[in-house]
Amino acid sequence: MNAIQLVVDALSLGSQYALVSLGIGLIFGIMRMINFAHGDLIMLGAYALVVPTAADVAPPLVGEWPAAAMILTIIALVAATAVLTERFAFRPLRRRDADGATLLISSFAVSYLLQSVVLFVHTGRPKSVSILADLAQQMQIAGVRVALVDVVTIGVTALLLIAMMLFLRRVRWGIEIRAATEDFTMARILGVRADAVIALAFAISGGLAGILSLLFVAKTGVLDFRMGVPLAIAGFVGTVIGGMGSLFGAVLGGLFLGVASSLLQALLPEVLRPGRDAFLYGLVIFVLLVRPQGLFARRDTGERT
Amino acid sequence: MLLEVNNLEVRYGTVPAVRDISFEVAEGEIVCFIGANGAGKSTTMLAIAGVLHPHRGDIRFGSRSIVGLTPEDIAALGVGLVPEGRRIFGRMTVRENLVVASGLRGGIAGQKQTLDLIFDLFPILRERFDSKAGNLSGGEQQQLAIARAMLMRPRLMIVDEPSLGLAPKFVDLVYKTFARLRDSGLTLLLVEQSMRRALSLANRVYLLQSGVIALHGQSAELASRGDLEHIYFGGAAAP
Repeated sequence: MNAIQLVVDALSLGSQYALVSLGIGLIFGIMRMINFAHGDLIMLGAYALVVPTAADVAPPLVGEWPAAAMILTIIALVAATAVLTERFAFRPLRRRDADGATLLISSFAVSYLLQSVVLFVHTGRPKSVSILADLAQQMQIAGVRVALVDVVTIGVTALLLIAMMLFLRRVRWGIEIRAATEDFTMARILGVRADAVIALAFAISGGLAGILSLLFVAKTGVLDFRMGVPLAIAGFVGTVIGGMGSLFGAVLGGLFLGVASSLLQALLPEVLRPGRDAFLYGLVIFVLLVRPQGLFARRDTGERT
Repeated sequence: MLLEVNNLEVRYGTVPAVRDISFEVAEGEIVCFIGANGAGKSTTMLAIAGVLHPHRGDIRFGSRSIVGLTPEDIAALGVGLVPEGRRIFGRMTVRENLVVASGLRGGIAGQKQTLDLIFDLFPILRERFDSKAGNLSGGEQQQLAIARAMLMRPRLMIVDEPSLGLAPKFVDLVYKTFARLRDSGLTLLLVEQSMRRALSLANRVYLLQSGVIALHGQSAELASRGDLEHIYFGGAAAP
C-alpha cells in the first residue's frame, strides 16, 4: 500500500474515533459518566436514513432528501434523542446523587434499548443504503488514488474540531461546559445551571454522533443494529488513553487509536492481521501501564471534589 | 434577618459533622465563624450554599427556606460562596473564570462597574487577565476567587478561610477588600482560623467546637475574654 493511501486511511479512521471520543468525553468530563449508548446514537442516525421496515431491502427515507436537508435532519434527530436519553434515563439518577457505576449500567440499558428497538423494527439482518453518492469517487493526491469519502471525513473532522475549540473558548456556554468539566460543583456554586449545561453537552455529543452516522454510512453503505458498539468501545478507549476529563486529550486519544489500528492493519505481516485488535488492545494496556493518567493528561486533570 | 440557620444538622454518611447549630446574619453585618480544624465550619457553609444537604434543621435566606434548592438556585438568590481551597478553574484563564461567574447577572460585558472595582482592588487580575489561572500564586488565586464571587453580585458573600496559606501582604489586601465591600453594603460571613484577624473586622463572632456553637457574641466582648484561646482549642467555657 502506498504511503499516502496509508496516511489517508489512518487519518480517516482516526478522525472517526476522535469524534466518538469527543462525544463520549464531553459527557464524561461533566458527569463522570461513561455513556455507552453513544455508539447506538450513531446507529440510530444511520437507520433514520431508511424507511422503517422488516423487509430485507429498506428504501431510503431521509437518505434520499437533498444533502443539506438530510444532514441537518439526521444531526437534529440524533441530538434530540441524546437529550431525551439524558432527560428520562440519566437526569433522575443524577438528581438522586447516583454514583458512576449506576449511571454506567443505565447507559448500558439505554444502549440495549435502542438496539432492541431497531432490531424489532428492522430485524437483525444488515441492510445496505447509499447516501452522498458523490463521495464514492476516488480522487488523486500526488498521483495516488484515494477515496474521496476518507478525505471528506478528515476535512469535516478538522472543521468540527476547530468549531468546537472556538465554541469552548469564545462562547459563554462553551466556557461554562469547560468550567463544569473542571469542577462541576464549583461551577454550580457560581450559578452555572447543571441541567442546562448537561443538556447542552448531550445535544452537542448527539450532534457529533449524527455527523458520524453520515460519515460512517457514506463510507460503508451498511446498516447493522450492532454497528455502534465497536465505535463506542473505540471512543471510550480513546477517551481513557487520552486522559479522562480532558477534551483535547480525548480527541488525540481517539485519533491515536484509529491511526494505530490502521497502521497495524497495513504493517502487520499477513498471517498476523486477523489478530490486529489483539495487538491494538495489547498496545492500549501497555500505554495505560506506562501512563495510567492517559497519554495527554496534564497533572491537574481528573481531580474532583 | 438576611440569613437564619435553625437547628442545622449535617452528616457525612451517618457521622454528624454539624450538630444542632443555630445562628443568624443581619443585612450589612460582618459575621465570623472561628474554630479549629474539623469543627464543622466549612460543612456549615457548604450546606448554606446547597452543596451539602442538611439532615435536619432549616436555612432561611431573605426570609424563605432554601433547604433543598440547588447550588445554582441559591447562587441566583444572592449567596456567593468562596469555598475552602478557592477552587478556581486552573485550566482556564482569569478572564474565563470571571466569565463563568458573571453568567448569573447577564455576562461580563454588562458588569463594567463591578469589573472596574475588581481591577481597582486587584490590579494583578487585569495584568494576568489572559493567563491561565492555575499559574497564579496562591494569593492571586484568592483574589480571583473573591473577584468571581463579586461578579455574582451577591447579597451575602461567604468566604471560607480567606487567609489560609497566604503571605501577610495578601492577607492585608484581602481584609482591606472585605472592609471595602462592607462599606458598599455587602453582608459578609467569614470563616477563619486566625482569631485576631476575625475579631478585628467582624461585628459578631461564633466559635464552633466539634459541630456545635460553643460561644458567640460581639467581637469586642469576646476579644476581652481571657479564656477564648482555651475554648478555641477545645476547652470548656468558664462559667
